[in-house]
Amino acid sequence: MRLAPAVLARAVLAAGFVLFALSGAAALWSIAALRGAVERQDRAQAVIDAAGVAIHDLHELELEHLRFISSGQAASWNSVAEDSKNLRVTLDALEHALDAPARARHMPEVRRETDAYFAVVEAAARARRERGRDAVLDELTGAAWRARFVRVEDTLKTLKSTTLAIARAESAASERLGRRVSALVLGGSGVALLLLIVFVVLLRRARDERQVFERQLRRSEEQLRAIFDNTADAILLLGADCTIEFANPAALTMFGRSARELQGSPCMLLAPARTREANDDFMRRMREADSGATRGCMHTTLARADGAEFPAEIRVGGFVLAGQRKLTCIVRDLSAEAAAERAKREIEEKFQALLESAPDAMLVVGRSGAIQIVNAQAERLFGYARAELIGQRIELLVPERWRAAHAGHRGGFMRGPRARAMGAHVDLYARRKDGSEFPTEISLSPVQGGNEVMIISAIRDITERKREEEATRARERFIRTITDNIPAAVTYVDRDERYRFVNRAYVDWLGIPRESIEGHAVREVIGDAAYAALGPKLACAFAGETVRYERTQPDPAGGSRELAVTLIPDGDAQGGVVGQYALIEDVTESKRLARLKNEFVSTVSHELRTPLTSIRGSLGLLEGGATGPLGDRAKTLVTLARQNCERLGRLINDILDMEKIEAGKMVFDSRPVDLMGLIEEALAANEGYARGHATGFAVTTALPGVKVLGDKDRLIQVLTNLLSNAVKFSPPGACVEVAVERRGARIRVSVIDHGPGISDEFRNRIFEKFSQADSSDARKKGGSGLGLAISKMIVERHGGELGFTTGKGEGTTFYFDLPEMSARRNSAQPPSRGEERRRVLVYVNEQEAGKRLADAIDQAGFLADITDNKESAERLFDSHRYVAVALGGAEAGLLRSVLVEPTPERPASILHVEDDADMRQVIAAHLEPLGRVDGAATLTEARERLAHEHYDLLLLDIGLPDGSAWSLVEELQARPSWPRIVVFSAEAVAAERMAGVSAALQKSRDSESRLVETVKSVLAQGQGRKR
Amino acid sequence: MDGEPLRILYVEDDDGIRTIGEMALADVGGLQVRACASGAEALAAAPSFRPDLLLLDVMMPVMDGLATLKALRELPQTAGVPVVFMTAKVMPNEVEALKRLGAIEVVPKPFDPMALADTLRAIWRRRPQ
Repeated sequence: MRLAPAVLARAVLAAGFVLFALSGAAALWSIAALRGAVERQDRAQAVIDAAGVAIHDLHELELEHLRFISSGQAASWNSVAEDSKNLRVTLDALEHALDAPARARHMPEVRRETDAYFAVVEAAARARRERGRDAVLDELTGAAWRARFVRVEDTLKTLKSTTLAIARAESAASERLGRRVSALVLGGSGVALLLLIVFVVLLRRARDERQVFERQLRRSEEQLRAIFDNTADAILLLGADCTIEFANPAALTMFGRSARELQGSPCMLLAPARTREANDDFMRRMREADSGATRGCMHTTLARADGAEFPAEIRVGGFVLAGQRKLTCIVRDLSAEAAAERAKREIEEKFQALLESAPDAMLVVGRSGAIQIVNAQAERLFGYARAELIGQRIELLVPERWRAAHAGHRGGFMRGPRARAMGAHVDLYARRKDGSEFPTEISLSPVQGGNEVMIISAIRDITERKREEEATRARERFIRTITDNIPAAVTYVDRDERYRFVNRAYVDWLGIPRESIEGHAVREVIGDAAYAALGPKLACAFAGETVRYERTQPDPAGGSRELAVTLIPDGDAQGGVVGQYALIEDVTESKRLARLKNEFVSTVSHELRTPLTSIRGSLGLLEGGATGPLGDRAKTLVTLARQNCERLGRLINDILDMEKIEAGKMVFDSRPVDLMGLIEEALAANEGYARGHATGFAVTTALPGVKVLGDKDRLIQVLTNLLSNAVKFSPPGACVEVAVERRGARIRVSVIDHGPGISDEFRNRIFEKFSQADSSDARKKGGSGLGLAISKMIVERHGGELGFTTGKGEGTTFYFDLPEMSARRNSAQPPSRGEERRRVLVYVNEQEAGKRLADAIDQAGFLADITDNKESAERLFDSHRYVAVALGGAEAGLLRSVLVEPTPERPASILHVEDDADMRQVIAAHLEPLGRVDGAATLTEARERLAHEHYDLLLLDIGLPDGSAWSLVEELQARPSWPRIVVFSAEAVAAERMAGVSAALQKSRDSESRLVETVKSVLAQGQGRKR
Repeated sequence: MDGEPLRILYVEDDDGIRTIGEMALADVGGLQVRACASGAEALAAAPSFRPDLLLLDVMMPVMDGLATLKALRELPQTAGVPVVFMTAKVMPNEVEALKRLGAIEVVPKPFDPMALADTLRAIWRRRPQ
């Protein structure tokens, strides 16, 4: 057991005090002893000194005595008496100096001897005075005297030495004592010092320990204080009378009161004012809590200073402090808990509301698979009431055959729950209360509900969707099947130029799997080279235009395929283009067949005509009497045969014409034609035929000098057809009338008969091939049934229209309208602008209104061209310069394409290389509005002009007197730059030639207006290749 | 020359047509006709016959009308003689093409045998001098 330093220090201090007292007592005793010794020594010294003085005085006496003896003088005696007195005083002093024992021991002897001596002296002196000196000397010399003196001296000396010896012994003893005392004092002081040091050390240590203890105490107090101050709970200390003695800061905050307010107040202050009357009850409950009846805990409502009440939990604990019963109250504000509880309830309600508002059936399933929450949709979907579902296993809703497996899957999901769709790639089915099943889509999301993971599953009935999907798939299959089984390739390309759909033909044709096409970019699939050609066309289609073109594709077998491509824009509801369909037909075969057919027709026509020529010739010779005269009957028969030969020939011609027109092979040799002259010619040619039918021709209205652009032979063919028809159906004696009149920008040629008119049922079919009024009629009238169809096509190819008006019994009028060639265009030198009436285009689909408008415009001094359809409006617009266009409402939109492309700022320069002078003139007239048009008849002339002039555009005929114009094209292409080239020739241009030219038109196929349009657009393409 | 009948070198591969043609020109029309069945025969006959006018069928085997014409043009006796084609192909562009090759006229088949000689006479009269 370790002694506390303080106790030890106290013991050391006590020992120190004892030691101090002892050493003090020893020292006092020693000092007293020493003081005795010193006193004795002083006395011994006085004795010695007195003895010494006595001896001195003795010697003085002796000396004076002797002197007296010697002198015998009285003075000397006086000295002897003085000295004797001195000696006596000295001896008295000596006696006084001696302590009693020594006085007793020495003084009697000294007194005796001295007295003896004095007696001798006196004796001697008397002697001297009496006897003289000598007598005394002898006596003095005797021993008696001397002996007396010596005896006194010896006695004194003995006294002195004895005293000295005693003093010396005493001095040594006191010295010893002194040494002992100093040793004692020194030792005692050392021990005391040591004890002091120990004491101090112990004291310090005791103080340190106290400081540590105090610090610990302070710290624990601080901790307690911190806890006390910082706890969220209010802590109150109540006295036995439930008076608040102490409150922590939390209490102040909780109750909103100051410490002064609380301390000393009854705790009832904290109860709401309304319940303070129930004071006793509160106190009773407090005591119950204190006694442990309610486990020291009570719940009640407390109030803040501002009256706000809050639920609280109070923990009461009692203890005794300084003999007094005290209560500690720990008050917890439960309003946060209450709010949290409320919030939790609200969240639950919201959650339920959320579930209810979800479109899908929602189930919340616990870990065990028990259904915990359902929404109304789930009730409806499964046919169970909510109460029937809550607490049931989720497997209730799973078809029986999958229930076991489902429980397993559920366990698996619970082990690693994450939000996902259930049964990906698997068709899921759920079971209703009535046992029926339906396909579902289920998504699962784990949620942490308290300590438990719960699964929210959203279940959707996808019956309808499945049906739709199936329908969509069926539709897709349907479309696939159709598209895969048509010979053409079909694709759909979206706005991003990615394939969205391709059919089998396209897949086969590219030789790439469908997956590598659909969803991939066009450029990536067909390669850059092919894309370079296709790209602009795709762009056109995306711009909303339907694009048709043909192209030649190398064939893996070594040949080439001809493809006809149609790109059809796919518009959305807003009018934008969201994609495009492509229809790619392999027309190699059809083209080959067409070629074969042409060759066949050509061959057949030749092969038919050859025997026909012989027959016709033979009959002609017979009929003409070249072989001698024939009998009347024979002649009739030969004539009949000859006429039918001719009819057969016409039929063959018509069939060939028809075929050629339809194949676009009929060549129109367009030139300015004097219409009246042409009509005269046709009339003359048919005069005989008319006479044969007992009819004649009469021109009722004429427009002398009026010109049209056209193929004279073909126009005569049309007129002949119309005239012969009219003749055929005219009653004998009636006249076929021909009228020529101007209608706006057009010239109308009408052929009017006074026949029976055309029956209603035939009117609609009149322009059909091989159509005739009726079969008996056909035989009677002897036509091929192709004439009107051919005529209509010829007129249309001239940019005109062929029509008729008829009435039963009123005769029939066939007419055709052709665009009039303006005087300006017909002459080499156009008249100045002032001479020409300015033109206005009237484009109104309501004819009467159009006519009235045209008349008004005409009267106002303008030339009005009237039309009611888009094609002719465009044609007119291309061939004339209009100062204004008058539009009917609905047509305004259609005219978009007509009104574009203003004439280029700078007039273009065009060189037309063409050996036919008439043709040059015609084309020059057409192109003149675009700029200067020079002509060259030969390659040589063209080279000459190109060497000296700058041309923007070269319009080339290919077959020229001095060679093919392709040689010129090649020459030009060798130059760094060359004019744009447009080919306008009788033959079609081979595909490989097209690279060098901007456009190629065929004289037979393409009208002049198309040529103008093409030249205009090529010029508008810019100056890229211009020198 | 008016007194002398026109001398026609007539080339036609089809026997029937040639017979009729020959009759129409010679028997009906009173012209002097040398009818040949092929281009080769015509080339052989031309130098001795010395025709005023050539009447050529277009479509013939081996040597067609155009080849025959080209060959006849090589011969000094027929180099400048006007030529008339007779063809079943009567499309204007074909006629045009034949005219470009030097034909002064094209007579379509079937022809009227009673008028053929007169037609040729008219063509002859209109020939470019």
